[in-house]
Amino acid sequence: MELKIVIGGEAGQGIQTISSIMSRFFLRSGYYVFTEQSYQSRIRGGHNFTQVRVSTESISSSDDGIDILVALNEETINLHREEVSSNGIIIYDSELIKSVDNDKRFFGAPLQRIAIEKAKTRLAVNSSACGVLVGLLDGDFSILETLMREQFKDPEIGERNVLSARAGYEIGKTKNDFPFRTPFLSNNSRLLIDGGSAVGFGAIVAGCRFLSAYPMTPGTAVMNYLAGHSKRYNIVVEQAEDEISAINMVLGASFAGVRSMVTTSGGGFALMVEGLSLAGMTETPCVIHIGQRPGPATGLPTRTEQGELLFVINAGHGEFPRYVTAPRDAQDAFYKTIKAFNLADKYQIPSIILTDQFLIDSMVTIEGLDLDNIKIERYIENNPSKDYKRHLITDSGISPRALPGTEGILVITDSDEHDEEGHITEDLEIRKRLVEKRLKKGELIKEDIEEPIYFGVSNPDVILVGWGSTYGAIKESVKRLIEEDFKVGLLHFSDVYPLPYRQLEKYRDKRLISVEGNATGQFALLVRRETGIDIGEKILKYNGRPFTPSEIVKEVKKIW
Amino acid sequence: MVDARIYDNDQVPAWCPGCGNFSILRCMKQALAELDISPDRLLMVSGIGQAAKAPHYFRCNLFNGLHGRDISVAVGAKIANHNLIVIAESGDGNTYGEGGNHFIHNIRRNVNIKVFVHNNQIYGLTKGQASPTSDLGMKTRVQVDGVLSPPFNPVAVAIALNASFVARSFSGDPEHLVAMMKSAITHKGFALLDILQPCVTFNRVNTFQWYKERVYRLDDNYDPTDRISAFKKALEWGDRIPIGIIYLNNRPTYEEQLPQLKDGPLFKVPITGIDYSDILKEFK
Repeated sequence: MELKIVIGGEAGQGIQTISSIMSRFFLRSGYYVFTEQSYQSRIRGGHNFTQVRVSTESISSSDDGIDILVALNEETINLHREEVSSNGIIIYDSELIKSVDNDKRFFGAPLQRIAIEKAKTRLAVNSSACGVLVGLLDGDFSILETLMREQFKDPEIGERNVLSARAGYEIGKTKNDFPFRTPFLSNNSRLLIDGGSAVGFGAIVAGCRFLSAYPMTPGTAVMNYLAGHSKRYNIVVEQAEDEISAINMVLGASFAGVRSMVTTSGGGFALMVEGLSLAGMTETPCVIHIGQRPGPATGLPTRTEQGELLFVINAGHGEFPRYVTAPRDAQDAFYKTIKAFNLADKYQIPSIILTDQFLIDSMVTIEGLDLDNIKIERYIENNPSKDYKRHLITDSGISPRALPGTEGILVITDSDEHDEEGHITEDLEIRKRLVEKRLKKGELIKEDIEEPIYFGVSNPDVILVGWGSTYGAIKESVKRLIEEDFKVGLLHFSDVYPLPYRQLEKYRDKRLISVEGNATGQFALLVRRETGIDIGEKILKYNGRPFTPSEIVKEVKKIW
Repeated sequence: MVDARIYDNDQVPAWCPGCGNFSILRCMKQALAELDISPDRLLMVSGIGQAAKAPHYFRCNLFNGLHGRDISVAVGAKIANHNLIVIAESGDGNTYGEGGNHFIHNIRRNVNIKVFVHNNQIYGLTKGQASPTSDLGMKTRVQVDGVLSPPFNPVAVAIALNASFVARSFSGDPEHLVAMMKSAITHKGFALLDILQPCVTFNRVNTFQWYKERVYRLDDNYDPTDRISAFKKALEWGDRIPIGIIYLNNRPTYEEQLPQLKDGPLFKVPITGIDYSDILKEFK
């Protein structure tokens, strides 16, 4: 069973509330859900919509097509009507939207009147709409009732919304010939998580206790998440005056011993780049989360893209090692965030988590998160010797890291080239040795890099190559192509720098097609630079919207 | 009081002979010694410029960061470990030019750090361009017709932002400078100490003699808690230049207002063995 619901309207009409409640409703009813938000950069007005995709099988992308369209305004009908399947339904407010024709897919309900009558507020249109949906789908109303009560802290408001939802539910039930049904299936321990919360939760579990950031969509989600949990878990979240300050504050906090991070988007990261180089030079661990959105410059603030890969890998003046990971989904984002903190401490380097608006804002159902086997490794020297030198040259290139304030020693570092002690130097022999020491660590990082996932037939004719948040969509497209007897596979990267190359070497003589959310095929360029492998063919998308499995299937068939 | 020699190290200053920085360095060691501050409890943070090299020349923990960004690093470090004494030390170009935004907003933030600015009204490291505090009309190789923009007044800006401690001193009055350093360090909150200092190589206008003729100590009756008279003093520049604690405003520090820091420094907060089941519930 699969069902696609789209809820559309102006910003401020409650689209997010409806989609969030319905996503939880399906999760608790035993279904897998993927919820993707498409919104404009404004607080009120504009056209915004959310797709709630429901399935009895695990899914991790949205897809084309609509079975239920919930139209909170007329524009939504005009813009999405063509996508609604012939046996689908268009739910609209029968008292507010008058211009419907005799298309039998229309199903009107007085959503706003119910809200005002039952809940005494127009805002409760969310609950009446959810009620109609649950009634229509023959769902378990008690699950919705519980969700409504949880949603509102004030029990009286909760109660009114339950009444509003019930009235909607009764109307929804009258449509008893609707072909889709989502009855209660099973209790389960699955989780519904969005990418922003996954990075945020991962950071908290990793021991991040300081975050500084300047608000920038979509990176702000992580700042909000940590701030929301700051008192419970002793986290300091400081909104900086600019991104330059944010990264420098984080380096100060990290130098003094706290696991620290910044969160931003491409433009904000551009301002942080000098600080990134400072982290490299002073060997101060830090974690940088970048939620990509389309550029250049301000670009499309609320849309998605994979356009910062080469920027992030090459950012910073001078030569120094770094770790870059591009999580493939929310679950991966949780674990990779923890890994980013561990590798930053292990190698005393900047770690970069590269997500995007699609991953940050989408909610996905996962089986769970394994908190029992998380390892937190700080690599801090608590009892340094009296002749401690912060930048001591060692065989591995990693110097013992002590913290300032440790009795009897001094911790010294410098953005200028420095000697082992950390003092400024112009001794060119020391310069050469310190460069080599820093770069040695880059070789070691390769041992901690995860090879890509391969999914597909054992002897493929074509391999799609992807990275980051496109995993769900490409994987599903490969599944469908295999069902149609295409001999195809997917090589999908999460850790991207240093580039894991073993799997690539194995498939170097295959026909490779790069699938990327940018206009220039940046990952293909990286692969050529690092391995000499030329990925000649590309499927690229750069209109600000994420890939869907259907469109990838179509594109692959076109060039097969 | 400890012996000031415990701060000596074997680094050789890269300053011009006769530079005001030498006096500031000596005063720094003296002030720390008189306050009995052990080098391992002190974290110096500096930016870039001749002044920003100063912390290399005495024993302390040190993060010598980027041009203009030292205050941000200092604030981060102080939030992470508020048991450290954290002092940012740099010059006028670094702090009032490149780092202007951090200067403004950290006065507002009021983290308990000290900002010591060697203010010689010129760029030394880059060889003699105008700085934000250069006087109108000063001719340089770049400002060939003289400086066109009126100078930045750090003391007045700090008072306008309700800074908790604003002082000015002069490298040519070591006794006064040591006293100001000590007051700044013992003050609870963000403390700005603007230190007038001649540049013997590039600034031919604001020479040692120039300052000597103008600088005067505020008298004992001056009340630094009166914001209006503080403003008046801040605007005094030219024939007479006041030095001393110009403005004092005991307001709560950033750290005091954070419940997260009540039980001890942030870097000591345990990060393992924590029960996260309440977070998992949020995803159901």
